[in-house]
Amino acid sequence: MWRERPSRALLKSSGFRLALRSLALSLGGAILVFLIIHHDADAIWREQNDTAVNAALSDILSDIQEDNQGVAPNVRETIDEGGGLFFADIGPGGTLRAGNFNVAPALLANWHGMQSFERADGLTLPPRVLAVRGVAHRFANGETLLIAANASPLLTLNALVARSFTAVFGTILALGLLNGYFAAHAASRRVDGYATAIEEIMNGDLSRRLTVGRAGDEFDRLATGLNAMLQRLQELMENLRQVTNDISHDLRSPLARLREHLELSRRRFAGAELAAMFDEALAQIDQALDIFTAMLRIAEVEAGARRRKFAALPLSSLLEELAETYEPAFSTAGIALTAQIQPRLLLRGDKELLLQMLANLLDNVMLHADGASIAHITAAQTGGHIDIEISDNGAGIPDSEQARVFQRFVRLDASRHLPGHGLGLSLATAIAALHDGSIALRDNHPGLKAVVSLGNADQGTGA
Amino acid sequence: MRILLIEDDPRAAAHIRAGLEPEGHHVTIAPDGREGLLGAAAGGFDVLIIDRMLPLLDGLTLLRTLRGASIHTPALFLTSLGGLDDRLEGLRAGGDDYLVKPFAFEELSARLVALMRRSSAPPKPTKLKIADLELDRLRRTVHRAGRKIELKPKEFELLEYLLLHEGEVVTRTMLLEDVWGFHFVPKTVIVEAHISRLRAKIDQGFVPPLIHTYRGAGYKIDVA
Repeated sequence: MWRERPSRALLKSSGFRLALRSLALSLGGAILVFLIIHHDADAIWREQNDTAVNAALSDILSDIQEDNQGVAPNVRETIDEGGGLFFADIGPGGTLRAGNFNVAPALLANWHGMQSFERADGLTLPPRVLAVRGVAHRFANGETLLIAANASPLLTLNALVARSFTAVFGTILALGLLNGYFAAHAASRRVDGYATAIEEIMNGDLSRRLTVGRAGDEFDRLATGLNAMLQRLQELMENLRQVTNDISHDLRSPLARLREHLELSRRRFAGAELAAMFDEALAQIDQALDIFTAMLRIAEVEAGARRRKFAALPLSSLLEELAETYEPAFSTAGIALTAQIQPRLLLRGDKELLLQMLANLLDNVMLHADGASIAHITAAQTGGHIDIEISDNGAGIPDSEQARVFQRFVRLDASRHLPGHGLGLSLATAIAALHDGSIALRDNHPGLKAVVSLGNADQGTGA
Repeated sequence: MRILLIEDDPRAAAHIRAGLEPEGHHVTIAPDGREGLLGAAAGGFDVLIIDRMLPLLDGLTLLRTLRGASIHTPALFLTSLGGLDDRLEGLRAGGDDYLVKPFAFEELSARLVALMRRSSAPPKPTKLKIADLELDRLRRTVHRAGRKIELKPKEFELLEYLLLHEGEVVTRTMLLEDVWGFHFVPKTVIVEAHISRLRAKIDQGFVPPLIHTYRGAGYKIDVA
């Protein structure tokens, strides 16, 4: 009843959602770590690079000032000294006067201060050098001196970081989803186990318990707690049953003895008047015992334990037989009893109780349907429901009284003089409820119609 | 009939004895489960009447022990435990009948006679006969004085039951339980109405009448 379709159940399960949340957190964490690594590596490399470039620039500027030979010879000299940096002395006309790399004029115009450029931006560079970072120094005569360092490692580093990030991200995502699936699956399997157990308990098997694992996790704690509660409930129910049995025994025994005593005494006296008195007393005791039996029976039915004994019943033949059973007595009372029963109806239920329920309803027609000349039993299945209707054309029950007749011990004024204790319909209702059903009373225009709707129809095998 | 009555309540036991002895039965009383078991095991009784709630040894265990020891004296539970499952438990423990207190002596007596007969009588033949009435249990046909009589299924079962208990009084409750499977007493007089239908079919116009009514007790099929 509270189990979902597997796919939806997975997405809605708390385990899966928890796993998704922790997955999102892991991914967020990974992103943050990579951003920090990238940022720091980049900053460190830049700082070293910029320091080297600036040092080279100040060296060369001070050389130029000291030797007064101009920019180009100094550039050539510095290149010859080695050092791995790139230099370019570009004349005001845009020609390269000296240097080991060159730039396009457009790029040159945009180069101000410390900047990074890639080969594609318009650089002429040796192979394997993909990018540079450096400064442009402009002299008063229009000459420009460019000093830059190889920035390829930075690009490589960026690519490496991106690749590692993708790999880590993918792995975390895959593992996280897998973990979520398994967590959700394991959790919903246990919850389904609990649901099955609880359904069985609701169906009357009070000795059933939830499975407790060995892990001692929160599910096990929950199950342990619930089991303790169930144990307590079972004990209470058992106590109640015991008390009911004791009362039944302790009250019935003296009544039974009284009855035996009366019966034996009646035999001893021959007087007709006395015999009548004894008979009246016996009838009163039987009435009291009847009430007792009916109350105990209702309690037994409502406890639900009988569900364990449910079996597939051939309802149609049961009803046909019941119609045949009641027809002679009805006929004697001037009521024609007919039946129209859909063949091969099957119902899961308790035969003894269903018989009693239907007999109670037929007894009611016999006792209360004043002036009836026709009674009719019908039964038909629609889907998983079987509707049994018992109708008559008697006096019926006023609308205002219809709800009241279901209450225990209620007897309408019209029937106070009749035998009975007002528990028959209560018992019938309890039996219908045990079979996932209900009983409704309707106006039959004229008369009364009792509609029993039972939910345990055996589907597929029915006609 | 020698009856062992296993009942712990002395007043109830005295009442039952007082009710049964005038009908020609000899009643021995065992006041607890252990004495009951010993008495029943010693033998010499035609039928056992067992209360379920007994000191020292409860009635169910007592009878299970007896049946386990292959003692098959017919046994009737006479108890105030009248719950839905109680009767079934009693029959499963090896009980042959189950009567809930309070009861009418006619009821108890009729059931005891039926128990006795059931255990001593030879297996019933497929054709049951009384006077000029014949019931074929296989063909499910009934003839009286050579004339075929049409019976409805329940009427047939009722007649069959009466014939199987020929010469014994069967009570209304026995008929309700065994012919209709009703373990409760309906407020409608279904047994009476069926008996009068059956009478109209098999007795009306024939001599002698076979179905006899015993007021307050039950019915009997018999030639006399």
